[in-house]
Formats: sequence, structure tokens, C-alpha cells
Amino acid sequence: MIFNKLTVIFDKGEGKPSPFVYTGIFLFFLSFASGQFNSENWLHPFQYDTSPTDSGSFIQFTNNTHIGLIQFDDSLNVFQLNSAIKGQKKLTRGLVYFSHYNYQSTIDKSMLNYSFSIYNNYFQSGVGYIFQLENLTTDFEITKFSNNNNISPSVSLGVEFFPWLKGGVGRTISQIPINFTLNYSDFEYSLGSIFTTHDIANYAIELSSELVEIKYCFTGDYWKIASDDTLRENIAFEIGASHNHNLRGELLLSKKQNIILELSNQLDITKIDFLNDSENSFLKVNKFSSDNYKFSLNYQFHSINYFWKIGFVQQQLTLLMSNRIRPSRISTDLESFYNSAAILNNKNTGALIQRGISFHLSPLRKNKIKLYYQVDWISDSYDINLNTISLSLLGGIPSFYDDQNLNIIRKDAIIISCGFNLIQNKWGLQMDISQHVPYYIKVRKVYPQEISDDKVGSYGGGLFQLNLTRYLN
Amino acid sequence: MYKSFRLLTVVILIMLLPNCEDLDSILNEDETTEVDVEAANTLVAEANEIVFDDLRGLTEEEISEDAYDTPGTEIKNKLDMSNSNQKYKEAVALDPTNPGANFGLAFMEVAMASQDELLVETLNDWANCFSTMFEDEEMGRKISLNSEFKLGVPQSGKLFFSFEVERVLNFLPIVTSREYILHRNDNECPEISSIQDLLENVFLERFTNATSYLDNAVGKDFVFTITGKMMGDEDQDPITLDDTEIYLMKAFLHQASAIIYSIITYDINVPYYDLITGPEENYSWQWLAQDSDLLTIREGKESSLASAHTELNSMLDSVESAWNYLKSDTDVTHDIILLEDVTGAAVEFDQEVSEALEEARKVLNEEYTVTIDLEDCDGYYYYYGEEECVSNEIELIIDLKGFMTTPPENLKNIIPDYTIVDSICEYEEYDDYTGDYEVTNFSCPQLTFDATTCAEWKSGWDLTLGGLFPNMTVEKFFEEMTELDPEDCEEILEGGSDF
Repeated sequence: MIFNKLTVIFDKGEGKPSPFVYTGIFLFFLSFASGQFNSENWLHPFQYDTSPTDSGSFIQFTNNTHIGLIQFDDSLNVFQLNSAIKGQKKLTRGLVYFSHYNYQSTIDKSMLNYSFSIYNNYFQSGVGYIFQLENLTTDFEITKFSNNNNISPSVSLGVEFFPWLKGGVGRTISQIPINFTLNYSDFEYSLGSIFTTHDIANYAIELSSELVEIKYCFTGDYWKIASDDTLRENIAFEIGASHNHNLRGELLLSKKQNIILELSNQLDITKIDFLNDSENSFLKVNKFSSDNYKFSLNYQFHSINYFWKIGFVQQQLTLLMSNRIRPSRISTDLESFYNSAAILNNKNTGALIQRGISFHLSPLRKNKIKLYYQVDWISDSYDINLNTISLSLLGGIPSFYDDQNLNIIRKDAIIISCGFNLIQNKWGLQMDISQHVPYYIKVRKVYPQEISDDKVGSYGGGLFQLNLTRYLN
Repeated sequence: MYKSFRLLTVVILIMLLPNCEDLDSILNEDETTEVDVEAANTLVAEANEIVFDDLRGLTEEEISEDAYDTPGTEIKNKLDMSNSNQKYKEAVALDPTNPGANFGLAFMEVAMASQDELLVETLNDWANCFSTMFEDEEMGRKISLNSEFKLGVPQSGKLFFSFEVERVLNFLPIVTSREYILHRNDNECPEISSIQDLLENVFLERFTNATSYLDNAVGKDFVFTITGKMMGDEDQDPITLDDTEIYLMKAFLHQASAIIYSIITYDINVPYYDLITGPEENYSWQWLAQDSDLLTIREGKESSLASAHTELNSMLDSVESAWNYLKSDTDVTHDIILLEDVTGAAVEFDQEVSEALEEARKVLNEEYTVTIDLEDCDGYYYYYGEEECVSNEIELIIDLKGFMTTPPENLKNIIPDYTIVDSICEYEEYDDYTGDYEVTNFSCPQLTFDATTCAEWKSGWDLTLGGLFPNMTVEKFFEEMTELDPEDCEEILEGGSDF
């Protein structure tokens, strides 16, 4: 299995605390920054919304499962599962809606002497009311997250200044639970029942004409860790911020063809300090930054019997993480591993670039069932370096030095997707299946495959979506 | 004419009087001016940047595959600090009391030791030697490679508890097993005297210089700041080294010097090349004779152990100074060692720093009583594998000061008078092919004690080990500690012993 090969490649050169610790922390912050782990965006970059839009009344059950990579002996699990029941009722001047979501996302790696796991598993229930009065639209929602008694409000206001100019502002406060566990030999660091309180502001402006639509959105997310008082004493937090700029332009060439161009940039910056029981820093993340640029171009057109979407995407992610760790303040075994060095500086840098093209085909038949087929090709390149060095002055040579590059540097893959929409007797059913299949992997160094009688199977790269809707009018 | 000349001279002198200060400054060229201080500070700042650039360059370069076998060559090829060293020297020349420059030079004295050809060769030889020797022993690596004796920035609160004065005994041949001296089983091991020469000629001098430079850096509110840029990552917080760390560095240097003084005291030169190749049948073993040079104090090293004792006292003084400074330090934002680190370590070691220091001073300077438990075990096991043992505690007095200030001139005199006879020994080896035993002759030393009776033999021992254990008696040693049977004693006297 090609995913077995991937697992071997990722594991080579790792398995020791240095990369293990920082990889764990790396992912920890990625999960904060992206809300989820965002691997779905990289494994399935072309996702078109194929569900029929409905501004009426309905009740819907949705399920979205993304399996990043799992090994059947449970040594590695990377997956996300989101399900929801939601509905809305159209009123004379707006609508009321409700939703009940269940989010599950897990990154779990368990080896003999060490492990790390980051997981979210929480419920989110909310009700909202959208009120429309002439050229004003207001949306007010309150949300309750599981394991947290606080109510999270959200409010937005949209204004149609002119038929060709619209604008909107909004603000949301949410409290998302997260759990994080890092384990090595005699040492376990666990952050359980913590919440990341996000204060999100967004602004949008939209210009539209018969031929062109241009929309710009900005979202600023400022977040911090909230928890009970004991835990808060162990975390000295400095900055958690995420900025997202999105520019979307659509050119309507005719009734049967259009071009959509989208540019987005997401920048996340985090600084955080973890303290031991004496309230002294044992791990300080001086800076974690993730800078993601994405460009996509889609050309959509109707041929005689088919509706086509041809897409191109290029995205680039630049990662930087600077840490300082003091093992003696947290773990004797970790201190021994680092050759008794009490101060270690770690700097991780990474650049991920992805290019891809997509062909989406949907037959134009007046059937109750609408099918689609999609084939994507993507090519990823990786350049990730983990560097750890102990502080050394007299004597010159540091007692600990570790410099590792991620072995994999390129991956080419195809993504095969298909799905359907069925509407019958006020019921709607939508299903999508997408499978990411890597077929070419380039590595810095080829390691001989170990012969093992009990090979562990694995699976990954699957995306499954299901929507079941009951239309109420 | 003469009057006129005198008058002119007086006038010139009067004219010069208001400029006497200028004249003084010209005459006292050694006095440091503000310009010199500024220039020295600039040089120090430049040198600091260069030092860290060099060190960073060392780690950023590819490490060759031979690095672990030949670390000396690797260091020499990769690390050149002559540029920064020169700047520190120029700074001290301008301003001899500049703490930054003195601190830098202290660092250079140690770091530049790695540039010494003698060190390079010896490190390489000993790296090969260590690869097969002392596999199960810690001592070999402690000399130069073990982190306990690594000369670096003190970082952990545990360091306050890592200075053990009695450890110096580990480096004396008197209490180390003979394997350290005689069991040279690897062709790559250098003459042991070469490591003594190296330690004395290279390290000891440098450590002494470095200690005096550090003396010029402490007590002046000097703080050495390592910036994020210096560490190659500008996002990193700076790290500051204040008197706590500098005093601990001094303690390290004193400790290292004490060990070197101990190591270089006695002649432990064994002609191991003869032993590796297999001595011929007429080989002379008289280098083991009681009046030979082996295990005697080397020429000119009569006060070496006393110097080690002084260094150990200085080490404790430096640790105490570090502790006192740490307790009163209020600016700890970027400090390496915090008071909480030390108090945390105190819990782990179950001892406060002041208690540890007091204890260490007693061990070093007074007759110190220790109780050791020589358990008597009956030799059979219960079901759960636990041996039944009876406690047998005996008290020993250790006089480290007496031993180190007046060490025994010949350690071989600790054992009773003996004679070494060059002898031929036989070795039988079974031949699987022929089924016969093949006898091989080889040269071996035969040790014969001069004593004729067991009582005489026992009384011939210097059981105080040169005064180290002043209350040791024949009864305590032979009856309580070693429990030597009369039969065994007779056997030793009759059969002698070979190494």
C-alpha cells in the first residue's frame, strides 16, 4: 500500500524527542490556527459546493468525514469527523435557524516511549435569527459549546448601499475546546478541558454588475486560552492572532460560462509560554507563524450535454516556529536525552507548495438525480527543517545538536471524486466520495524497507460527505 | 649668556606649568581614558558577535563521518576563533579592568585550547582508546567528555549540588582499580603520561588564566547578554549571564584544575607497548619493583596535591559566592538559573545548598567520619530471590586534607615490602583438532613478600593509605572489612602473586 510507504518515509529520522516534541507542538498550533487541522484543504484542495442552494425552510442532517491517515494498530490516527443537524424556517422578513454540530478531530501518534495526541471532540448548539428590513440585514446568533457554560454570541450587519455595492460587518465570540497530551517516558504534559476563546471580527464589501462580481472579505481572529485558574497559572500567553484576506472575482462571460478567480491569504501568529509547577517557563514558543497564500482559477461552462468546471490552484504555506525548552524543569528523562543541556533553542522552518488542476464533469439531464465526476491532479513539494541546539559557551561544542530535514520532498497524487444529488418528494440526499491517491513520492534519502512479519495496514486520504435534507415548503 | 639661558629655561618651565596634567597623561600612558573604555567596549561587542557567528558556523557546517572518531581534528578544522580572541586582547590592552573583555578572554582560554595541536592529537588518540576501554566504566569519559565536567555555561540549578570534593580521589591511582593503570587492552591507547602532559601543559595553564580573567569580571555588576541574533534566531529571548553563572564557571575551572593537579601528581607510566606486543621471555619487570618510579610523586610535583586541595577550597568559595549572589539577585528576567531552580533541585537532593557546602568543607578540611555498611550475606536465596544479609556497620575517618597536603611519596609503600622476580609462566590451551593441551611460556612478574609470617605481613601494610584513613587498624581492616582467613594469608605468603 502506498500509504504504508508514506508512513515509513515520515517516520524515518524521527522517533526521538527532539523532532517528536516539536512536531507535536507544531501540530498543536496548526490546530489552533486553523480551527481544525486543515489537512483536508491540502489533500482535497478542489471542493466544489454541489448542494442545491435553498433559502426556504428545511431540516438537514450532514456528515463530513475526512480520514487523513490511520494505521490499523492505532499507532497513528489523523482524522476529522463533523456531523450536524440543522434547520431553518423562513419568515416574512427573515428566517430563524438552529444548528447542532459535533466536531471530532484527532492527531494521535503512539510509540513505545513517547506519544502525542491533539484532539477536539465537542458539541456546538446554536440558534439564530436573520432579520431583513429594506436594505438592511441583521443576523444574531447565540451558541453554546459543550463542557462550557458560557454563551457565545455572534452578530452581523449587512447593508446594501446601492444595487451594485454591498457591505457587511460582523463579530463572533466562540469558545472551542481542545485537548493536548505530550508524553515521553517519565514525562507527561497534558492540557485537558481548555478552551480557545476566539474573538472574530469580519468585514466584507461586494461590488456587482451584470457581468462582474467582486467581493473582498477580511476576518481577524484574536484568540487566547481560557481555562480554570489552576491551568491558567501554567500558561503565560502573549499573542494568538489570525488574519484572513480573501478576494473573489467572478466574470460572467455568458449565461453558460464564467470565470472565477480567488486570492486568499491567511496569516497566523502565536506566542505562548508554558510554565511548570513553580511557574517558571519550561517551554516557550517565541513565535509560531503560518502564512498561507492561495490562488485559484476556475472556468465553468456548459457543453452540449455536460456542465464542466476546470480549475487550477496554487497554494503556498510558510511555517516558522521558534521555541526554547528547559527539560530539567519538567522531565528527568527528557533532560538525559538532551545530554543534560538545560536550555535548548529550537527553530523549525517549513515551506509547502502545492499546484494542481481539476476537471469536474456533471451531465446535464433533467433527472431527479444529478451525478458528477471529478479528477484532480496535484503536486506538493515540501521543505521542512527541524533544528535544535543547546546553549553552549565555554567549551564551544554544544552538548546537544540535532538538525533534521523532513525526508519527503515531493508528492504527486490524483484525486478521484464522484457524487450525486437526489431530490424527491421534499427529500434531498447528497453524497460525495473523494479519494486522494499518491502515486509518486520523492525523498531525500531512500531507507531500506524493514522486513516484518506483522506488517500493519493503513489507510488514508478519504473524504466522505453526506447530506440528508427534508424540505418544509 | 649663561644667565640668559637660565632665564629662558625658567620662562619655559613657567610656561609649561599649566600643562602639567597633559604632561602627566603623556608620561602615564597606562592610565585608561574614557576614549579607551569606549574603544574597548566596542571591541568587546564586535568580538562577542564574532564568537557566536563562529560557534554557529561550527554547528551549521556538515559534520564529517569521522567526527566521532576524531573530534580533535573536527574541532580544529571547523573552529577558528583567532579573530575574536585578538579583539578581546586589544580590549584588555586598552582597558585592563573591562569585565566584558576579561569574560571573553576567559572563554577564549578554554575554547582556544581546542586549537592546540597537542590536544588535537591526544583527544583523537583517546577517543579511539575510549571506544574500547572503559566500556562499562564512567571514569574514562569523565576526564574530558562526560557532561559532569563539561566546561560550559552553567544552566541548571542542579549544578549547585554537582561539586563533590571527594571525587578528586577517583583520579588518584591509590583508590582506582589496577585495571586503569595496567589493563591496556587496546593498541590505540597512548602513553598515559601524554595525557598528564596535555592536562598540565595545555589545560591547567589555560584554566588558571581563565580563572584570573573571571576574577576581573565578577563583583562589578557585569552581565553578559547573549542576544537572539547571537544564537542565530532573532525570535529567541536574550539570555543573561550574571555573577551567579560566572562564579559557577569559576567553580568549574577550580574543580577541573584540582582534578588535573591530582592526575599529574603520581607517575603512572606503564610501558604498555611492551605488554601489548607480548613481552619476550627475558623481559624485565623491575618497573614494578617497590623502589621503581611507578606510583611515586613525579619530579617537581611534590606540592601538586596540595594545590589540588587549595583549588577545591576555592571551588567551594566560588559556589558559595554564586549562591549568595543568586539569593540577592532581583533582575532575573532572562537569567539562566533562577532561585526556584535551585530550591527545586534541593528537594530532589534532599539538601540545601548551604548544608551541602558546609558538608563539603568538613570533608575537605577536617577529619570526617563516615559509616559504611559491609553487609554480611548468608549466600542463599529465598524464593523471591532476596538474599538475607546482616548489617555490619563500621566507622571510618577520612582525612582528605592531611592526605592531600602531605601525600605519600611512594604509593607502593602502602603494601608490605616485596620483591619482583622476572619469571616464566605457562599457559595451557586445549587444541580441539589434536585433542591435546598446548603449553605456551610467557614472561611474567612474580611478586614475593619479604614477610615470613602472617602477622608480619599484616603489620607491613600502611593501612591508613598514606594518612587518608587515619584510624584504620589491622584488626579493622583484616578482620572487619576484608575478613581475611589465615589460610588465605598463608597462601599469599607462600605462593606470592602475579599480576
